[in-house]
Amino acid sequence: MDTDPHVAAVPTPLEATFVCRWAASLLLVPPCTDALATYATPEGKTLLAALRADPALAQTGEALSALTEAPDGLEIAASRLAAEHSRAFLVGGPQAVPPYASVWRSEKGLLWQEPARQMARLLRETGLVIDTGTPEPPDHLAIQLNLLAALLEREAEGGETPLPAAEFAHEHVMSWAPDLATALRRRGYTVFYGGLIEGLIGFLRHNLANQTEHQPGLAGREPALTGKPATTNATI
Amino acid sequence: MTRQNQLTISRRSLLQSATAMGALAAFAPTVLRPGAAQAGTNGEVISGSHWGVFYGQVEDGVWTDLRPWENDPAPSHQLPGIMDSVYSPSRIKYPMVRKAWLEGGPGASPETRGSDDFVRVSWEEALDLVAGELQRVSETYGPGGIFAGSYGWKSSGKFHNCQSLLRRMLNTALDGQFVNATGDYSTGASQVIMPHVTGTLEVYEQQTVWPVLIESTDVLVFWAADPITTNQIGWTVADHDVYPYFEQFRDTGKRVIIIDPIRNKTAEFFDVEPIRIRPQSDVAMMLGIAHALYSEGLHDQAFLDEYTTGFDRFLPYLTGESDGVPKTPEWASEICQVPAETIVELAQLFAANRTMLASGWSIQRQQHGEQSHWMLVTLASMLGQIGLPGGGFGLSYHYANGGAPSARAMAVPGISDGGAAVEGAAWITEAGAYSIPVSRIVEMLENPGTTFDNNGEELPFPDVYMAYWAGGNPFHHHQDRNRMRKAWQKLETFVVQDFQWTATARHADIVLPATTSYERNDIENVGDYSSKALVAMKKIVEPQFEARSEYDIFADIADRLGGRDAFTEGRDEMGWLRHLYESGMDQAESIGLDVPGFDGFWSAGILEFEISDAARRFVRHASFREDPLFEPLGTPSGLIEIYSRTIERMGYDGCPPHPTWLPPDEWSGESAEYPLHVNSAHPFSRLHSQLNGTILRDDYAVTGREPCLIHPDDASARGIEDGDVVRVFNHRGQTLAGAVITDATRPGVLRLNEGAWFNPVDTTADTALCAYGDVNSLTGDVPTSRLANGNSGHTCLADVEKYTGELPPVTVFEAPTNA
Repeated sequence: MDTDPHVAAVPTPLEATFVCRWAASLLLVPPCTDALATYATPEGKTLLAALRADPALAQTGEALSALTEAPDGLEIAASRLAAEHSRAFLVGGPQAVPPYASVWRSEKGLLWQEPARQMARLLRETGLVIDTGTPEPPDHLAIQLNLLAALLEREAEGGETPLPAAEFAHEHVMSWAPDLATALRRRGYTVFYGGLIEGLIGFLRHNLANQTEHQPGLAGREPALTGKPATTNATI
Repeated sequence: MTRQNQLTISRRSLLQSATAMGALAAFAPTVLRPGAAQAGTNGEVISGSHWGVFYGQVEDGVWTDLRPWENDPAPSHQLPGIMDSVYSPSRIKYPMVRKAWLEGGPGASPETRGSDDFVRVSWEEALDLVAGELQRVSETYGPGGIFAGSYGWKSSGKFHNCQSLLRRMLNTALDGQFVNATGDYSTGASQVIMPHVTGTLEVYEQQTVWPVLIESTDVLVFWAADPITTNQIGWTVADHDVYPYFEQFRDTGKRVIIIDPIRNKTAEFFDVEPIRIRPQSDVAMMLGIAHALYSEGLHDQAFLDEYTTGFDRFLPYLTGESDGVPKTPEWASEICQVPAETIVELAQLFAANRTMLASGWSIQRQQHGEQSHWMLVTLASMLGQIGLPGGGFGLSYHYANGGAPSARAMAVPGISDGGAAVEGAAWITEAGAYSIPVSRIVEMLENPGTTFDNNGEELPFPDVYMAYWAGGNPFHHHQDRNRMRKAWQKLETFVVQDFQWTATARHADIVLPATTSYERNDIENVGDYSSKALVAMKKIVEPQFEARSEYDIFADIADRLGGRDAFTEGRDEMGWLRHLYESGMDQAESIGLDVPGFDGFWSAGILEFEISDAARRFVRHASFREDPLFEPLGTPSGLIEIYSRTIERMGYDGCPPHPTWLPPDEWSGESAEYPLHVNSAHPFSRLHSQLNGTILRDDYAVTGREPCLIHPDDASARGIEDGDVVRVFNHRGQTLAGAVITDATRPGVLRLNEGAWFNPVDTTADTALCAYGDVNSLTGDVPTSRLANGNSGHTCLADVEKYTGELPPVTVFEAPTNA
């Protein structure tokens, strides 16, 4: 563990809303050199420490730490991340792993199928729109994670949501994200993104498991990861 | 937006955010904000495509379904595939730059093209890079440094014509300092030889129309043509008007003869067993028929005397007087492996009946391809029926519904590329500082600074260092893929603009995402030959990701080169559509055609034109036949030239001055090592490589790979069974395919349709194995001759074996559910 005295206070355990948005931002755009440098700030070190402390995200935290402390410099690390991100999510073809639910959950395997349209409806019902600077279909995993975070916040504030956050996670995210993770692993995305999605799934599974204990309708749909003792307090 | 997308976090923004939002919030920004989503469009939108006019059904801004236009008499089964291409996961989403190029600059590690990583950049950076490269290469290497002869089946549309727009940008903003290309891959040989023979291209001109064929033709010959397959698509927007005529002709019970090594879809339609000619021997068979006509006195000497020149110079060759080899049916039979008696019967049948010789183009896409159509015209001349209703020859019955009667239509021009227009096909212009025959691009890259012969001229191969491709896929349509990949390494910069990650895009240095034609507005004719309507190609859905229209992309590049105003002329998309339409209104008025104003047309969506009775009686070359003195052909003599003194003066070994049988260097039965001919005809369920990556593939793929037709004799000799994965190979390359054992193909002939996506297993290998079935991994890259320098894709031998190694997956189409 990092013992840097300058590490800021960590919101331990990691909040799911934070993890969802943090992972989403990395999925949309790989961190550039400047962004990687922020992990060397006290706040960044705090985040890395929190990631390493989380059973599901520890490997991701280690990978990110290694990248930000790479002996050949942040520029090389950013370049490696960008290359992996492009190969997996941006460049179509042999190495592509499209991060869209429609591709995985529709008969045709195309963009903008029913999962995307469901997401569009949910966003509308939640009163949210996607920033114009993010021209992605609404079933991009990053958009889904952002909506999940928003639903969690609303629930925490006692606000109304079109469906419970946990149900959304089960139905719309966990229904295909594990397949995405498997594909990333099989296609050798080991620099960062394969581990990120696996860690994210583990994190969500654990938190969902805690949540579904209190929601009989959802219990048992998504088994919690075994062999990983819960050390965080779920916020969902 | 810069390369550092707004989502990335700088230290400064972190500190600012940290103060306001808490220590870590800046690491987790949201991309959602409160707001009411704009209501998505709903309803039907009319548009057009190479596959026809259709209505796209839109629900909440999403394209969910389509239906063909009610006046399309035979909608193509391929049409639904276009939706798949719009929503393909292989869309190019953002501007991308090859990593090595971005880091090392132009020319960095060209050997890694096709396997290197890409890095996302902002549009601003991408456009700066492209404009900077155009400037640098132009200044460093001069007017021959940039190749912009971008070729391919770009999307339909008179305005968003990416190839015209590319050249327009270079003409207006770079003073035309680029290398252009002439001709095309379809008719490279014929469109050069035919002007010497009949004075026009022939291959893109209206044919004697189908109502006349139905009434007057007794014998309809499809020689190397499969119009049932190929008329599904059109260069503009397909009308499919010929299909009902096909049915009517079939209903007459008149004779249809098909000469093809393979029982194609047209043979199936007419329920005719084809004459299984040996591939590439067509000229020999035609000579055999010609000899039979002459020896039996069945030729029309009067026609030859009045309408042709040079038969007397050709005759000694036909009889063998000049070379000691009479081109008898028996001689021909030895070569083409069609029985001599069949050849004689055909001669007698043709002479005794009104006969239309309708040829496809494949027989001119082979070494010495110039000879095929020249000999066909000679044969038709000997029959003496050219210019008579239902007789003669036709070179476009299989293309874009040639022979469909032409409407009295409004002629809306397309946007100009700024070069001098040339009569003929829409894509043939004289823009640019240099020009090469389009399929000689690899030869150009391999031999910079040298000269080559071309149609009587000695031309230079310019020293090209940059290529810019828009709306084409040379890593599909060019021959000899492995040689091409190596030659491509000469380029310091390769820019590709497309909507999908084609093999070409994956071999680029800078990739720009373009919209599909369904994400922008345009206008196009319906029917290349009929022009029966003008359709408003309305935008169906908003541009996906960061895709931009070709026009906007080139306008911004022109802006960086100081030429925006000249490029745009101050118009935006709708301004141009209005301008083009109103230009057409002037023409319409001149012919007394009453058409609505632009707004009325756009609102209606489609404007149909009447087809006159006279148009339904059109007979090609009738006016020439009626009065050859006052309606001469465009040849030096004004007559059909069976002997060309112009060609004689060129002195090319590969193209003598009269039709001649010249065996190709590579053909079936002449090689022990690679005994099988590879037929690379057009596919039934895609347009070249377009729509290969769609759901249509489910109907024809075999074990997920391109089907390869193999005759049972060839299969059993090699222990191959139906459904096996096979390796087709020769000294140039190798590809996997799925075996289809069928007697539809002639023994000794494999069929592997062109257009299959190149899926190299190892992108660094000299002879990369294609996992899916790209036939151009096998084909050779030799010119037809120095007359036309057309491509010779049908000159190809190979062998096939059952593949027993570990099967590499097909990954080029993205199949994540199998990952």
